[in-house]
Amino acid sequence: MTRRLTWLLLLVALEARAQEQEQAQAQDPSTLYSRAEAAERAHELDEALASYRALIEAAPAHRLASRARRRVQWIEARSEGGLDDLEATMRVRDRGAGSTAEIAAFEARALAFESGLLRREALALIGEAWLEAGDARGAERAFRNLLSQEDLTGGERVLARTGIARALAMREGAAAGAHFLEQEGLHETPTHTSLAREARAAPLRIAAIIAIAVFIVMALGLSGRELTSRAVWRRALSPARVLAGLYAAAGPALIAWRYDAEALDTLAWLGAGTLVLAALASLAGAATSGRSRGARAGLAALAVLAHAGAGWLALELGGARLSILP
Amino acid sequence: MRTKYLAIFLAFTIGCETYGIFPIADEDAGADPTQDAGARPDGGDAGPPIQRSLSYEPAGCGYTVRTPEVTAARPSADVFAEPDALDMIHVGWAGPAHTTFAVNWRSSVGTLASRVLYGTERAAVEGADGPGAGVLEQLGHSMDYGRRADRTQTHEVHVCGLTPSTTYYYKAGGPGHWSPVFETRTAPAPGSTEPFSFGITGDSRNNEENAWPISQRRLAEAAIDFEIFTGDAVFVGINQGEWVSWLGARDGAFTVQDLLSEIPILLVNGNHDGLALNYFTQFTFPQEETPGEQGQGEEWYSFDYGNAHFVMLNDSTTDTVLGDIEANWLRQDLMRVDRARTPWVFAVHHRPFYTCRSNHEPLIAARTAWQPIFDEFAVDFVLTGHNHVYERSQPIRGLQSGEAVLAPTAANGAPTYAAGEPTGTVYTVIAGAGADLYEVSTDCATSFTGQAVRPYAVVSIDDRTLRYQVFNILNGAMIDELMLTK
Repeated sequence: MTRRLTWLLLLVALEARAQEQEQAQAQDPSTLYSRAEAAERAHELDEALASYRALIEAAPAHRLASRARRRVQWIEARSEGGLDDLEATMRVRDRGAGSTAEIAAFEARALAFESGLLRREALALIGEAWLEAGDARGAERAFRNLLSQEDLTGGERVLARTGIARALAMREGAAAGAHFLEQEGLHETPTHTSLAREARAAPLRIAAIIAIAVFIVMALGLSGRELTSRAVWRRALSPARVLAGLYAAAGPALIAWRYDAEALDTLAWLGAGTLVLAALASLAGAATSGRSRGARAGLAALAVLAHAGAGWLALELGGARLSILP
Repeated sequence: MRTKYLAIFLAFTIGCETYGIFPIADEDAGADPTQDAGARPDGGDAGPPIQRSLSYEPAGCGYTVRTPEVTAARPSADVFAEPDALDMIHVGWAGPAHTTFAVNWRSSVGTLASRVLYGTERAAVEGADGPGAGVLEQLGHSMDYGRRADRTQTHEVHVCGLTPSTTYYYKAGGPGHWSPVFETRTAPAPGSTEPFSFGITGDSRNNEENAWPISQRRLAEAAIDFEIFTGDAVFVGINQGEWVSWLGARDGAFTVQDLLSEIPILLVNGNHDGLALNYFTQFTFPQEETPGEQGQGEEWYSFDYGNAHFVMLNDSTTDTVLGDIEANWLRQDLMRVDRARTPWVFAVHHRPFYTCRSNHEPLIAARTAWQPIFDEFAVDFVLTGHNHVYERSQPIRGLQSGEAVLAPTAANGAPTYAAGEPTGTVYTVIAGAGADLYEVSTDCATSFTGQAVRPYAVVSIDDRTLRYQVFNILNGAMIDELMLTK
């Protein structure tokens, strides 16, 4: 009897201890925080909130309680319409909106969210999703919807208007996007800078290509059969001219190779682009010695324009930001 | 006639001087602390003696703090200048993250009070004007540097002897001149398996699209424990105005100080930061000086947080320093890491040596000098910036003729593990929290993913599990995720 009683007491004690350990484990800040984080990751915000709140109550001075308070604030600030809407938005944030049909479905749902922070954040996500999907009209619609929301912060207003500008740029060209931002008084934003740069660069790119093409056609046309003459090639490729050409083309690249390896690719492109034109100009110069002064001067002017154009294109191709123009 | 020209010349010179275009007087005169009414508001001997630098052991810390050479470095003294301003409050570490924190701030030039009151009860700290029940005090130093409009007075106080994983409340200033109360928290004890998380940002210079404060707001919302910054905070490191804008940036009601007064930010030097004096006077990093190292031991450093180790390197230096002095230090530092207690190791520097067709070429000198060490000690992640994009490499282990040898890869570009060690290191580029965006390609053998977006990352570690998530700063959308378990 005594032995049975001892066993019984031992079992009770063991059970009580196991329960205590379980309770301690349940109150352990790390366990509670890990549980809350896992729930957030799974977009189960009710459970996440419960674990965060349990942690704050169990160990208010703990480092993790401080973090838990912040997460609770974040979730509560976005629960105007209940946690379902926030869970849906978090799914889009974390996994992407998916196909255009899915973006459209989420857009319809987001527009039915209660007015507030969550709806604004969802509309910004939708605008970006439409831009990524290449649907400029969808993006413009989402950003205009964002712009029409109440209580927009300054940052959100800028985000909406630059989003509209990017959508316009996608549909009608960079100049349209830049013009929209100028009308909105956002001509000093980086989006305007890059759109305006793109708007300026596009005609310059075409002009550069035309200048190069016209020069090549004129050089070949004016040189005619003279280009097949050995004497012309000898004159064009004299040691002094070859050295000068190589110096002009390879000099910057050599300096970059020695002192600034990061600029090497840009200057190598520049050298390669301009060397070809320099060689053609030299050949044309030698081949057109019998032509009138006016024709030769015109060809020289074209060579200069083509050279500048090739330099422009080479620098753009090398990733250089050209800031000569305002 | 000559007199007329002389008069015009003098008028022009005086005009220029008036508008501060160029000086005709000795510029140093304005910065001479002995002529500084602010430093000695009573015109007499108030305040401690003026020195160019200080070296001292903060009470109870067990480590030495050394300031850089400035116009005047002074221990705390209860001198307050007008206007009574105090801002740019942020925390850092020079000692162990689980028992210490340091507070840096800026005051009006001439304010010499460098005190911090702290405790675990907010109300007690709020109500205190000095140490007392539940409120402790620590004294630090101030530094006066810069000239004319850039002249700045910063303060630094080290708080030690704290309890791990605990929330502390603090305020900075001096008697009758306190800041609002802020909260910060100590790290878990070394080797602890408690969960923690940190944020990663980089290249905020120019603050295009207001990306810098937006990134900080998003990190604050993510409830991180500290932040790693991959370099190039500002465009010109010696321009104090840019640092003021950086620390004072805001996104709506949120200010960068809201986050950085609560969690430390650990920076590496970027080519634009240029190891400027302003970099060392405004931030606190561990100071374990290696012969040949600049910045009083803050040029490169390491620290532990929970069960992770971080090495913070400077790659904007000569190939000799990078490949010799710094590489030796790196090897010694990683050799000391007990991987049984500290399974996660991160290396951070500015210029990537694995990056694919972006604006800057890979930094081959660092690859040659450091990768063999990263390989030898099985570093988990190498975090960099410089190319203003997001990139993640395939796991890499080894070099063959200077080129990467790809390691075995698990799902989603994760490294495989052998005896708890990764068989390859993941290299990332996380930059563009304000600098102009570059293009990027993934058409390189070493690339796993890359996007021309403004990224910030959150790394969460829970014992032997690591979750790495990267988001677009501007809209908060997730752009990459990686889960690792050792």
